[in-house]
Amino acid sequence: MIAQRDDDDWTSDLTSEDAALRGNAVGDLRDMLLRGLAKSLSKQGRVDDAFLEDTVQEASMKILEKLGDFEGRSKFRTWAVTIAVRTAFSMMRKRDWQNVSLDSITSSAELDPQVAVDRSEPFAQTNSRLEMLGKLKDLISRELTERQWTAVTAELRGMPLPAIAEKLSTNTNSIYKLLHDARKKLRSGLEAAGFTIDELREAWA
Amino acid sequence: MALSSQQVDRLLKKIQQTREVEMTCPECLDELDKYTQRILDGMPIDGVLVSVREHLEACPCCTGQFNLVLDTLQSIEEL
Repeated sequence: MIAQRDDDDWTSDLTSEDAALRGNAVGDLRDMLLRGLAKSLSKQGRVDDAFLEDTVQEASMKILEKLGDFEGRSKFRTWAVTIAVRTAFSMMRKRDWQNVSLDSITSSAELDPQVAVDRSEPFAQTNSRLEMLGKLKDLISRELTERQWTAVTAELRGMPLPAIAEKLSTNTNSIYKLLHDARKKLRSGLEAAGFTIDELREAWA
Repeated sequence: MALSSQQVDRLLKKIQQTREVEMTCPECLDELDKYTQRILDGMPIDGVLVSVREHLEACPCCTGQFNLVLDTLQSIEEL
């Protein structure tokens, strides 16, 4: 049975000098996260009991370490669950991607406009899309660095940004900025070539 | 190997959604508890949280985390 606590109770109990009170609060926190994550993650079919235990252990430690940062911008439960989910994603990412090389999913990646058109579309629409994709291919080869194209293709093929960052020996913020810069170059290049946002939207609608 | 049709579509969608200034994933996740609380409480999304919403619209990974936060809170509520 998890004791009912409001936000002040959680923070005071988790930092109490009374070891028994603190121990009970830590136990309740772990129990709440374990039961909550067991149910939500099981819907995704992505975890077993050992993984769940490890995740909750790691998340509980982070929550206790960060307790001084809790500002009450959200309820304690929301704050704690957000940290636990971030921890779970980080651990799933390591489990799923640590043995996948960047080369294996990005080598020889190229944009072939012929692959990316639907031949069942009307002739004019197909030609317009081919023209746009031809321009996009040209922009990719002229405007993007090799590192940018590697990151773009890795992301398109499902590799999470933190995993890309790790493999390129940098951090997620830098990879996001690298990708953002690449997208801005491609967007402005397409616009300069006369393709509008509406046409872009239609192209993938 | 050439990008698949679906991957090219995703690239075009990302280009179309590109804004001049965007919040990064870590910046979004740092604000996610506050954003989630506003959603749960039916409060307006304003200030920096507008950038969180825009980021979530374009980032499947962060959206996955946001949805899992909501699911987990719902699961705890049902305990």
